[in-house]
Amino acid sequence: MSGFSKAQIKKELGQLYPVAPPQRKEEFLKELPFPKTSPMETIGVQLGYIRKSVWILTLLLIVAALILGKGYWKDARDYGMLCYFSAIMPLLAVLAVTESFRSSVHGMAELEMTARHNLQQVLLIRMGAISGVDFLLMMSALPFLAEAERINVFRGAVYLMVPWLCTCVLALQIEKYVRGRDGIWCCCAVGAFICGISLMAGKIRETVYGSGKFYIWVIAFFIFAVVLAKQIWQICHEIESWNQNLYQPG
Amino acid sequence: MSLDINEQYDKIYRYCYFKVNNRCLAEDLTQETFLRYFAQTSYVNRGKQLAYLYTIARNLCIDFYRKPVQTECSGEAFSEGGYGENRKMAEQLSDNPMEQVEAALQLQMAVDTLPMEMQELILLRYVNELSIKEICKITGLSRSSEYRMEKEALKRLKKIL
Repeated sequence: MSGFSKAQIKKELGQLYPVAPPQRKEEFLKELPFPKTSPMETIGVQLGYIRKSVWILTLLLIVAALILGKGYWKDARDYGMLCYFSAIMPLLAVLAVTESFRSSVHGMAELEMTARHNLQQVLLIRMGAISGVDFLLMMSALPFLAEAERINVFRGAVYLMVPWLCTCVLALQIEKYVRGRDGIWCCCAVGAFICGISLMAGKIRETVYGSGKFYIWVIAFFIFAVVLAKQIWQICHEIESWNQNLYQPG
Repeated sequence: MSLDINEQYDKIYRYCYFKVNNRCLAEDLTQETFLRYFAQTSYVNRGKQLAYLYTIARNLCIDFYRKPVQTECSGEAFSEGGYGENRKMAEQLSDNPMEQVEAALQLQMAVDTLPMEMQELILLRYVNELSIKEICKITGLSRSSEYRMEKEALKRLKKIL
């Protein structure tokens, strides 16, 4: 040891204080009552993991819709503002759904699987959190939008929710078949496509958003809502079977 | 909870053993530390986890010395040969060449000559691999004091060796 440098001493210090292995460790850890987090705590923790860029993009999209639709504010019953808000909904949906791709893109899926909550549970919470914020923002804007367009709030909500639900359904379907970064691009393409359709529909908005065709929107709303509910149920079912497999004796 | 319980159990056990020098007592204190740690769910989910875990262990060890009546295990307290004996065991089990074991023995003896605060610092910093920030939280030292003490300990060790 003589003549050893400080760096070598530091390295050797790591091997100090050897102790006999603990005898009751396995038994104790098996019976240790791990505290369970409440759902609110879980959501709070997961909110912290959502990238700031997602929140910033969400805000930017809403601001963009407000700015673009502002010119139509005074022209009541013109559906201009509704058209722009309806067009940003698919993009907001893409932001929410692509959160589920993030872990697989960065190779974190296995790591998250071993954590307290399994991957689907975590992703569902994150997607739910982003969608919840989108929903709250839209709901707070809806009374003003309905007033500007002279339509009732339910009708306004249907016009906004249909493109959002449609994108969510398609994106979750894509997620089943396309994994990783490719999946994100596919979802973005779908979002941009539906956004484009909404903007193009703006040219014939009297026909698209007119009272005569509203029943088609309602039918589409219920179809997409049912399909989305089924997809979420399937994810929850996967979580349950995953948990059952986890706790089944080998 | 981002702590690796399995790994931390061993580290806390080593820390408690360093404090009480008795295997049975060290394990009791380790288990008590984890039970108290998990009893505080709010802190476990948000707080500085490692520092909190070590603070409980440290306080439990202090309490152990304060108690006039001690547990069954305490009869054996200090009767174990300490790290010298453990070192012998490590020697037997070790595949290392004799020179390395000898060097490690010399180092252990040199560390044993240091004051307890310095030994504790070495255990936390180099054996249990805690960050300076965490050590400061556990020991209550300021960052500069910790840095000075660590530097002084290494200087003394270098001089002895």
